[in-house]
Amino acid sequence: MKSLARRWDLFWYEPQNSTPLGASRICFALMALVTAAGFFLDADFWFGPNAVLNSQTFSEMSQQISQASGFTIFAWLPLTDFSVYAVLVLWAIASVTLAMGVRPRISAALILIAMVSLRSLNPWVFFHTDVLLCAIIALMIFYPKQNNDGKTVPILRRLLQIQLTVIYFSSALYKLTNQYWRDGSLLYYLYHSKNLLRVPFLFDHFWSIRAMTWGTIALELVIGWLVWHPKLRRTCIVIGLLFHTMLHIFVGRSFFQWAMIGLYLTFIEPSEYEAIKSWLQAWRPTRLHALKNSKV
Amino acid sequence: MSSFMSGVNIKRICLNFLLCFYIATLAAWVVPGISLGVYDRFWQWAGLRQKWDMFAEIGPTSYKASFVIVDANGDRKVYYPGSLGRANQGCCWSLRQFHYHKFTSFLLAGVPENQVVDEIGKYLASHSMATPVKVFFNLNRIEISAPEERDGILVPPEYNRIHVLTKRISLGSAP
Repeated sequence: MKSLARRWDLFWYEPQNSTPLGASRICFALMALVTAAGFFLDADFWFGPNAVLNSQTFSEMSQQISQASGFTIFAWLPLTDFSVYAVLVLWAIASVTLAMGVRPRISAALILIAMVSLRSLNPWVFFHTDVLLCAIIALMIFYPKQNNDGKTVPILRRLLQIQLTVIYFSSALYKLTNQYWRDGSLLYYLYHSKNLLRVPFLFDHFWSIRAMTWGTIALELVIGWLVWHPKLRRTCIVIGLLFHTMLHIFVGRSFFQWAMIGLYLTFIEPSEYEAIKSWLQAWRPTRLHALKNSKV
Repeated sequence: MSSFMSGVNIKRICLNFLLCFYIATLAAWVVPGISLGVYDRFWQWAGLRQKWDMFAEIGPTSYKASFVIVDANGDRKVYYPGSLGRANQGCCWSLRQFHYHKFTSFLLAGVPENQVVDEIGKYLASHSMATPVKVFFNLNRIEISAPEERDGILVPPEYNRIHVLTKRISLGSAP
């Protein structure tokens, strides 16, 4: 029992180098910034007083579907185009300060308030990436302070790692509720109903479609757990990064893949970040030198 | 006893309790179809309820919808939900398209009772043409034939297009 308590303490509270968490924070802050920019361009269409759905329809539909979130800053602010744009600008500024590590807790709180408030105006445009971004930014409100030796308590890092496992496992279980995932034909229907990138051979045979369909479920069922194993961690990270890069290329340029990569950043150890940094430093002068020579 | 009940210990106990609570909540949401009732509604209120059902509802049937707007001169414009004539290019277009796709799935979920269809039709009419006179909403169901192989190679599927409805949207109170 004591050993279990000791392991629990080590897992959650043993101070660690904050580089992995910092890398993940920058990744999600930049995603928050781009999301704010995306909403900014369509704010009049989605959220303003003259938006595509009027506020009465929204409230009626919300009650019917009980999908809308309740908290909104617009309970106190008048709903005008100006206030919607102001909230989005606040969101963008807070994303920049979060990326820079300036008052990360306050920055994260401001982003979350902006996201949740706008979501309450139109919950039906927020897709899975936005839901994940909301969850991560909410956790960032508890961003740890650094000790004098640059280390932090790893609670937030652990929660982000657990989030990765939860997403994979839950996604696989949901897929198993669909008969076309179970019989291995889903990628055939996905490929022919959406405009996916044409890949010869892969989609020409039913066995290859089945292999990819079942392979996806198998991967999602196990990778979120295996990545915790010290000996399998690196392999899982490489497979995970390849998997999401391929999804990004073939299935659609979804931000969700970048969010998953952002979560993988928390599994990379500080020593590996150092190794990557030294490799980049060694690589850059060589490349620059080669480029200069080629120009001459 | 005094050391056990010190401030640090109490803080740690509270923190451990919160961590267990949060992880238990995440674990419950992992399983499809689990609802935690009032407790779920709190997370919904906070905008933090999670559900990871990506690609879980895809199958051989899909829907294609369109809005057709006709003006007084007989000119027509056609908008397809998924982009609604927007977000086809420019900054963050791929991200924005996901917003439109998400909205479309909501739009198609409740057709034809869905009053959202009417609202969107009116919006598109008033924002796309000076004198719109008619707006129609068309909905088609596309059914893809089951996979079939000949000589080990998949045969291209047959697409069965079924007209579901055409709905005329009244422009009486266009915004």
